[in-house]
Amino acid sequence: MIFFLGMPLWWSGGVIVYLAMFLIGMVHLKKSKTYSMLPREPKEEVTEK
Amino acid sequence: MIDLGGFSMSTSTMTTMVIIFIIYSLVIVGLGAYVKLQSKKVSTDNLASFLTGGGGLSAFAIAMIAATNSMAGGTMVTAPGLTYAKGFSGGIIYYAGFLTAAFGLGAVGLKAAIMKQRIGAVSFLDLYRLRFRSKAVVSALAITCVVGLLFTTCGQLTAGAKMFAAITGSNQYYLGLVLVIVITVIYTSTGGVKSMAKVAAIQGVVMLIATFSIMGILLIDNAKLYGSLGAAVEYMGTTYPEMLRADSVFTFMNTLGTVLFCGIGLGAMPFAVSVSMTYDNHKVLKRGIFISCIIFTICQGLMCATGPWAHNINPDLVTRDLTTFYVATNLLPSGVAGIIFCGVFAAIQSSLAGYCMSAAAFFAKDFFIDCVKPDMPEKKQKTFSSVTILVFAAIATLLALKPTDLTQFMINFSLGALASAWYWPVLCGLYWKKATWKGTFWSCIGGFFTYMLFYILSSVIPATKEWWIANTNNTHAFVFAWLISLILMVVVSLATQKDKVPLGYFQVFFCDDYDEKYAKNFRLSNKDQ
Repeated sequence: MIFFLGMPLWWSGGVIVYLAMFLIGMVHLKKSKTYSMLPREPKEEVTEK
Repeated sequence: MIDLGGFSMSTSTMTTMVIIFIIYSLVIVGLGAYVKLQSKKVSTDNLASFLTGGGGLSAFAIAMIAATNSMAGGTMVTAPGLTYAKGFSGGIIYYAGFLTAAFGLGAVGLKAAIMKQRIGAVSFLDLYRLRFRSKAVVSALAITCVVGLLFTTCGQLTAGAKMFAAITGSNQYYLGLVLVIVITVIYTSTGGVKSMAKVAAIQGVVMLIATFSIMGILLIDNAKLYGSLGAAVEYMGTTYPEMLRADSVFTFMNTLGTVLFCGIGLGAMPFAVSVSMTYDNHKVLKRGIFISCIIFTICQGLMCATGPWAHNINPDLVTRDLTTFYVATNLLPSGVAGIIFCGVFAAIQSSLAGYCMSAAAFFAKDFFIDCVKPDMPEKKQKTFSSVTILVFAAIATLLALKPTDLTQFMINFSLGALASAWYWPVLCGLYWKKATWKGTFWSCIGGFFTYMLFYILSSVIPATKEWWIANTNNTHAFVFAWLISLILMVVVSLATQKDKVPLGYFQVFFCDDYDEKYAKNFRLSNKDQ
């Protein structure tokens, strides 16, 4: 059995994949756009040139 | 000393644990009463406030409800027990549910919250009432929810009561049953979601303390016993090699099905999507998902890995589900053991609270009040919801009076059926514009019953079980039911495009511009299907 970081490779690898997914998910969540959650999106004001 | 099969516990430890449990129970019941008194002082003491907390819950409250709803007895009791018997592989497979909150709230949270504001929805199924204009869809979702959650509640109750009877050494199964359900029902039916949020915060903290204590002491004791953690793993590999094998529990197809079920199937469960009714700010939602995922990752991840380490210290436990209690009572001080005892019950109670609230929202409000008796006065509606929680809990308790050894099978059976029934109706209902009420109805009913059928064939009848294992590589029943539900949704919807809802309702659900009269008039009349 191949060991990695003191545990079987399949286990350590699985945990690393899970943690990577977790980090990617949380960074994506943090960077994603924040919406107003209002019933209607506020209309942007049109400024005349 | 009290003999618990392979380990024992002193009477003084048991007394300390029971005293701490009594204090914990008084605190959470007191919180429920406090929330009830507070809500009576304000004018918004109505059904909407009861079911949604008024929409203004904080990120921490949302996170705690979402995380503790998902972490039932499985996290604190069954997962350590499974890994104690079978090794690390079972734990890593069940751990796939670590992003459930992100998937559930992330997929439905934003749209559900905006729709809630547009139409003034009180429960999640209000959105489907507007989307499909169909009593059949709302009733199918509500009834499958209540039936599924009833058996899940029964399974959780049985597990909690069995734990109580074993740990107190009293064989007081019925006392355990009453304590678990009565405490939960008191704080849920008095204060609704607001008291659930406050209690969930305490329960989450108790569970975190329990998790860190258990994992911490196991690693320290393994290192002490074998000289180092590396030596402990080496001993495990030599003496009990199945503990380190990847294929000691499931076949590949069974693993795939379990990961699908835990990873995404549970994200669309009624008690998970109900959380989307409790906030009105996207920043709060994102922070809630963030905290919830961290708490779930810590508790579920660490508890799933405790079994093999406990096995390395004592391989003689007769009842593997007592692994957590062995660690609590034999390796930790009695005060910490008391907190762990509360942590296990907190996990069970918090899930039961979520199930009870879902029953109140979906059966009482969506099915009975809106579909059967729409003229019920508003004051009576809240009372009826509280009574529904009591009746729901009473039926689950009656079912649990005769305990079965197949507790976990019952939990798996009901949750699997519910996930199969709800997954595609929830996602396609929210996002697929071509979904029709007939497609959603048959997807829900088809998913529910095909899961029941495949589960019985694959796990209950011995003759068909053998055939199933030989011919499907023991594929998890959820995979087939989930696929059949999807096929029914797509095929029936495409075949019934003439049954689409009127354009005004469609625009409220999918467009930026819509007519207010459709948004505020989504209740169903007698002529709707």
